[in-house]
Amino acid sequence: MPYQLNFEKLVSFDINQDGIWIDVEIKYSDSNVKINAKIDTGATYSIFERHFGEELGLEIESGMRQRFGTATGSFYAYGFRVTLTVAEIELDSMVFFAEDESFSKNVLGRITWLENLIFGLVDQAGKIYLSKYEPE
Amino acid sequence: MLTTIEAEIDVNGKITLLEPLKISKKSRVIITLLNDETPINQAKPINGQPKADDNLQLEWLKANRDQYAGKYIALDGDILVAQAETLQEIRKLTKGKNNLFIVKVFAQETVVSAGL
Repeated sequence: MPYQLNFEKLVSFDINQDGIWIDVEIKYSDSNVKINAKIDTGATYSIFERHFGEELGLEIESGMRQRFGTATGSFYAYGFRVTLTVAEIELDSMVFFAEDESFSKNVLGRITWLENLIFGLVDQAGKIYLSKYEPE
Repeated sequence: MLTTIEAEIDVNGKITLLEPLKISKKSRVIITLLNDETPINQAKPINGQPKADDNLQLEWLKANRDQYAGKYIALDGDILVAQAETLQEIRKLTKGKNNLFIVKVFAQETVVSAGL
């Protein structure tokens, strides 16, 4: 039995990169930053470098402190409610900015981002199909 | 001084406040049921930003998320509207309500995955 999904947006990514990287815009109040971030279905939340939060005018340590784990250890980051936009799809999201200035990763994770999308991937063609998930 | 705020009452009589309310002592209230069909929350101004102060909501999350650790919560400003185990469940509970912020929260010291 075939299944069919319809998508609003098509995003291309570079298949030669290590991972799937796409452009994302974060808005907070009247500020915004544009970031190239890696999609990571293993990340609970979206996490970004500290300086991006500071560029948005956020006082990082005033956010919701959360401990994050990796294969090699753990670190703290601070959460804020922002608008996360990928391929013109805007989502009201909780994202985190790393406490440590040397943290140099930017990842798009599940809670308030991936979980609110219909996501189609054709890896070898470098294409992602996206729609906002609207429950019936 | 009289204070008026918007609230929702369900068929079982349970009242949920839809706006922040700070009181310093036990107070008398009068409940007025509206008979119009205005959808709850849609009467509020929405400019792409939550009506309530972002800082109040963040402070609520910081102060209360441990109590709801591992659950999805729906907030209207700094008012908790609903909680549930899953995103689908909380969407059902809040169906028809606009301008809510829905997020799953964890205790601060719970190690959540950074992927990477």
